[in-house]
Amino acid sequence: MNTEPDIAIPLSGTQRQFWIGQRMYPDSPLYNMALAFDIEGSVDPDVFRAAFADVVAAHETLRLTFGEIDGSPFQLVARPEQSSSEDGYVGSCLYEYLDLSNAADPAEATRNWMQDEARRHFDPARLLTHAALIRVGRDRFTFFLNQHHLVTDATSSGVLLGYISRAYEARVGTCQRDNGRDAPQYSDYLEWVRRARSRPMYDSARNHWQHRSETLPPARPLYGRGIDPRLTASTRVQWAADMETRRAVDDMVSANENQLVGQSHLFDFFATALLATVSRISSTGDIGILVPAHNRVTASSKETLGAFIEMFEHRVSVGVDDTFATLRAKVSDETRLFLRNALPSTASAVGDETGDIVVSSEVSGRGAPPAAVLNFITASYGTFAGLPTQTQWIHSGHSDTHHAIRMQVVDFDGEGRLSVYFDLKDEIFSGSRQEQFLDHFSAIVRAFLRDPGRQIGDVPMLTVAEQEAISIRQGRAGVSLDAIDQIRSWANQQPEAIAITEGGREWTYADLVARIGAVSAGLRSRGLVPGSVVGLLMPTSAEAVITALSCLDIGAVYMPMDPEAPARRRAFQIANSGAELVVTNGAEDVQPGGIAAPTTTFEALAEREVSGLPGDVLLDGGLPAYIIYTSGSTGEPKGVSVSRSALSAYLGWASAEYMSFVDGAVSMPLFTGLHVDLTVTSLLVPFATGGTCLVYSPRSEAMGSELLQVLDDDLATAIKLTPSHLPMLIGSGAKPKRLRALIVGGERLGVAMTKDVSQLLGGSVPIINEYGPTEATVGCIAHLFAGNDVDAVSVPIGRPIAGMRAVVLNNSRRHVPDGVIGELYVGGGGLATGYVADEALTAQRFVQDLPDYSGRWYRTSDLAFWNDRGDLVYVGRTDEQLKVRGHRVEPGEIVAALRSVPGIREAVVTLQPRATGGSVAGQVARAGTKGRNCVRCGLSSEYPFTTFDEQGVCSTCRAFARVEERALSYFGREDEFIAAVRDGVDGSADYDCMMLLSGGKDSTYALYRAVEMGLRVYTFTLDNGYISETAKANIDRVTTELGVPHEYGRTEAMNEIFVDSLRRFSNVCNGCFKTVYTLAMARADELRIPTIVTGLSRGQFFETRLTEELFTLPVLDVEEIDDAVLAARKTYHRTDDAVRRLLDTRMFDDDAIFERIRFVDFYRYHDVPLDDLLAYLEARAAWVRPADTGRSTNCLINDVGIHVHRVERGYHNYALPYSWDVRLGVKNRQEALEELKDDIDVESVQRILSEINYTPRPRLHDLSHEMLCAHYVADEDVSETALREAIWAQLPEHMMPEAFIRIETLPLTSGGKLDVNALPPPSASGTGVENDLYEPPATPIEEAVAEIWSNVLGRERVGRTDDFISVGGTSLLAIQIIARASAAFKVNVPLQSAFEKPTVTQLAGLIEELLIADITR
Amino acid sequence: MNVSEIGGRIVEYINSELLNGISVVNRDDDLLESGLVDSFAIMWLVAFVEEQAEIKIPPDDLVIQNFRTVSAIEKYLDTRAA
Repeated sequence: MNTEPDIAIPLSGTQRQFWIGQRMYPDSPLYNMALAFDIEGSVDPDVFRAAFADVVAAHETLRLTFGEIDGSPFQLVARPEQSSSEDGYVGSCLYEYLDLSNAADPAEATRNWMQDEARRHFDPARLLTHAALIRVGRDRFTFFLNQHHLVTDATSSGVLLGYISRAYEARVGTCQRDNGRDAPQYSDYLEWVRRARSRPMYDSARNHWQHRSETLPPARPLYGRGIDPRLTASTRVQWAADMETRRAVDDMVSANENQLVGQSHLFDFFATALLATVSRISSTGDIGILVPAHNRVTASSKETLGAFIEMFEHRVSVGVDDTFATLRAKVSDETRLFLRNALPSTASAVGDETGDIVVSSEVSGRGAPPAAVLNFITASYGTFAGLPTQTQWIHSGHSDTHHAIRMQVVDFDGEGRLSVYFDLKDEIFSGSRQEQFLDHFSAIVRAFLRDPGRQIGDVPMLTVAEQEAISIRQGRAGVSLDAIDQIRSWANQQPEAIAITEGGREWTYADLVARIGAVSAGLRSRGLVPGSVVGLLMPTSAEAVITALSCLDIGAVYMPMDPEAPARRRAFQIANSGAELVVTNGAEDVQPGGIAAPTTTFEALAEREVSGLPGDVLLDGGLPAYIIYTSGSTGEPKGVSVSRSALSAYLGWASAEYMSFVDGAVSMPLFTGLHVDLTVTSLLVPFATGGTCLVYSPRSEAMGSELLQVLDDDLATAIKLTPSHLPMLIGSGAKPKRLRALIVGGERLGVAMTKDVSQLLGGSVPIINEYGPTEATVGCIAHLFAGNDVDAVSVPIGRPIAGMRAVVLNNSRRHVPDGVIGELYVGGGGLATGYVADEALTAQRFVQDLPDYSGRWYRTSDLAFWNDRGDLVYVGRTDEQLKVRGHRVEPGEIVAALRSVPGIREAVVTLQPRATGGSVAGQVARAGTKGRNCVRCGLSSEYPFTTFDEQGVCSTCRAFARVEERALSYFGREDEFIAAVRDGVDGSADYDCMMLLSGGKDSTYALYRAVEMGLRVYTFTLDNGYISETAKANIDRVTTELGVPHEYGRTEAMNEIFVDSLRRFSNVCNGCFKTVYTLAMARADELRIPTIVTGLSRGQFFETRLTEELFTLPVLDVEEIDDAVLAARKTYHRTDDAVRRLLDTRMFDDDAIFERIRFVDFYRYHDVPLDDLLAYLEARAAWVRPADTGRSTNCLINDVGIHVHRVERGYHNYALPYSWDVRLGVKNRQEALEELKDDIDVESVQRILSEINYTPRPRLHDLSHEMLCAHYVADEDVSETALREAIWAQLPEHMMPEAFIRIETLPLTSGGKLDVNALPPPSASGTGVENDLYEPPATPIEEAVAEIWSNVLGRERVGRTDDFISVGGTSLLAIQIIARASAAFKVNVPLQSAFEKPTVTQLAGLIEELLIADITR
Repeated sequence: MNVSEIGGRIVEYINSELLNGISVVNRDDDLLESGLVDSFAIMWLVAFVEEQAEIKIPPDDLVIQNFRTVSAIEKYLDTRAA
């Protein structure tokens, strides 16, 4: 008998895991390990009790209790005590004797009692073992043993039974008492582990598990469901194999394979079956299972009671091509690795000073742990005292929360017959899922045994119950409608009803029939017959609608083209489709370049009046109705040919469906291009239902804004649009009264957005989510949005429409279970015929008879799953294809364009979440705010970063007020002007200065005054091609009157420069200014003119060169500001853009030109109020205020800039300079606001936009959640312009990425695929080129500088080596940065250092030098 | 150290470290058939052999013929030394 006092010992790694797990779920019996040993024979209860007490006295594990100090657990070994004779505690064990033999059904009563007791809550501080001997009948006993996992494992229970059995036998005298040899104790094991850890084998094992824990694969949902980490409840089910399977497994058990590791063939078999099953009920990829190692290596540990078992990861990658045999080979390799590395206390590589695990990866949540456990228990339990004994394991009803599936393979009674149990977590395997899982597992095992060479993905798993569920979700038979038949019929029934409206024009059904008759005749007269292809190159218009209908009428095939697409693309479509004729709307609306087919206009086609339609011609339903091109992965678009019967099938369904919501004729707006398949609905449903097709031709505000007009007009009873339109709908705040149905299609529909729209529309307008690739004719699956969709992220796409079918399949085209993501296949009468002139692709995408389903199917490459309600949910693409604003985009096309840029090595194009300041709703609210204006300067609240104080004064005015006095010292007196011009000039040149004359009031006034002062002036004007006639006349008059030489500078590249400027700045002025300066400097240099005088207004100084922060510098030195402005000018001319590349700018490569030619700003020295200036010009000059630009500007294209700026950025691009004019007293607020009220001639603006080929992108588009983003690997920095231009030249506008991010290498997954999730997202500042070679700031000064940069640049982070210009810096921002840095460090940082020290590190270094100089001075 | 010395150490290791004196094996006793050394313990034995012979045993050599008895291990080490 021991007499030592209680001793505290540390926990093993195993125990620590259980201890932490129990602390996390204090009320759950998840670590109860309950066994029942049914003993046949006579047992003496008193002797049994005494024997139990003997064992407790001999084994410290049965006397353990657990405590905690400061969150660290310890275990306490109690002194052994002699057993008491009563029921109750024996050591830290509860022991009792029950006699249930008198119960009505003793076996049942025993089972119930044990079920309840198995869920007993153990408090580790007091109790960890509950034992009971139950008398079930005469000579029938059950020994119930329930222990907390802290003190036991599967082996330990069997060992304990053996000890009790021997102690019992010793007491009854059938065997000797233990010979006094001390039983091995758990603390011996802890000591053994401590010693073993210094063995070299531990080092490699630690490395192995460390590496594994760093590369944990993500947990995969099973049947679409993840574990709920709050829950532990699970249910144990037994797998009942059929006879054949049973026999095959039994044979395997007895097979004596020549293996080093006994039974590893069995383990590998079950591991393979489990992994294969998991791969089929989740998605394939890296799958890990957890496998316990028993950790009993030595003979004495095999006799030790306690928790030895430790969970290790067994990870295998299940590929789509894997067969059972290949997977088993991988499993076998992994098993060998597992066995070599599964050393006690290495499951986590993190060890504390005691040599034990601190926190395992499983508990610490360092990654999502594997979801399945394979517990292959080799232990068998033997018998009690030589009596026949059977062992059952009683489930406590709970599992570790992460163990979604726990598979237990056991042979407790050692009879060579394995039993397989699954503990399935309740939140995943609810209802029929348990049974379904067992069926699926059986299907896998059967297939494995029959043919190990079979692909795992190809195993049929579709159960009868699943088959029935799928079949009732399919579309019923539908009714077809022919659009032309319908039009004829409505023309008879309601000839005066309005069929089409557009702007102020309208056509009745009678008119429509007449027009179709005329155009059909025109088409026939040009030799077109059924099946002929007619290209439509027309913007959305009534004429385009009538032409399309006329094609359908004569059986010709209409092939709509995007008038905005590059000519090369259109030429391809015409050639590829074999178009015999191209119809346009008149020459000025289309670019006829590259058209190889005869072209005609609508007017020419329709010129012959025909009365009524000719008699019915029977047209084959198999003839194509239309060909619509979609983005193709090969770099060329692909034409989808849709038959007349497929179109009629869709039209039949859509008409009936929408009429049921509208309750009558359906009037729909047609405001998207006919070349998009989505538009077919709005084009034809109105005519099929006797309603009105409301045509909205594209407006100048560019794509989407027509919707606002649609809402305003409120004529539509149904509207079809894309999810990208919805923010605009919400932003408009419209509440259309006539609207009865909103149909959304073309891309994934978010639930939050849909709820907002539903609310806006008062909750009474049905919202229908319609899914359909072009290949399945517009829409083939539809869902009526309902309140109960709110638990999901995406609105389901629902179920197939009439006549259509849909199934979800894996890579082997086998059915996947509900909840599992697979590829969507659609079938039915609405399938397209195929791809034009591409039989191979057609055969590849349209397939006949799938393994589980017969018929013709189109494989969509869309990923989807069936949800719990039996609705389909769209989740993404199997391929790289993206959906951008309703367009299908093959990133491969964009990547190919990017790779054509020199220096680009690799590129990847993805959709990235848009980094936004606040919610979409918030942005919409801001976008919808009615603009207010500063009460002092008139600046609009739309101007970025502008805030207003309570008095309504803007933040810029407030800031300026503080520095105003100092700022004014920058300006000079009139008499200083001459000195500035002549400063340092020897006067040997023919002219004192070149003056830049725009023909506007400011430069004209400056010229007059300069000549008055006696300066010899040469005048220079940039003819950008859009100078107003009035301005030209002014220029001619004033230069003639003054007798000064004048010349016009010109460049061929002007339009390209405008487009570049619009793309960068949403205005034309920036491009124009840079062109002026470039050409003027070159010319002045030729003429040896030393000075250029500008007519920039004071407001423009602040807009372009100065900032109020400049005047917060500790010392204001005018010379220094001038130096900074000069440094900025050098950078400006060297920055890559259209001007830099398209004009001859080599002179800017070195500094000499900036020394030879200086700039003097006239208005720096002249302060002339607007009234005085205009009065002077009126009285003295031959200058006439321009009338043809609608404002006091001299340039027609300026209106384009103003218009685009308003559309794209939401405010006037003159708002800032004019507000500065007000602040500086040049204008008053009223004058500035009046000047900003331009009455812009939209038609003329649109004409110019189409001349220069630019489409504005309204900023409301920026509200979509995702943006197209290009990441690229390059040898050197590549300019954004070069990237953009490569795309512009080859692809349509919607394929232009919004952000370009340079990365060092493409991130890859462990499987070697592109890891899309690891791509750095675009920064909050959104667009532009970004360099992601990020190095964090290294010193406190660098940190402070980086913070200033990130605040000023609006970037989330700035690295120490980021180059100022390449991260979006401009000269104005440079000045802000220097000013703030000077203020922060209280040193005078030279302004030009922003350009001379363009990185954070360099600038910080300079600041440090200055600080040191300050101290040592 | 020669192979027979290593063999001696292996016997000693098995008897003291793995079997803890509870049972005893000799050079020619079948380690696996008897169940004395199980799937995990065999890996400790492999590691011990690697440490003693200062070699790395490739996975393909981990077959029953090479590890059935201590003599078999010695024979395997002879082939490795050759």
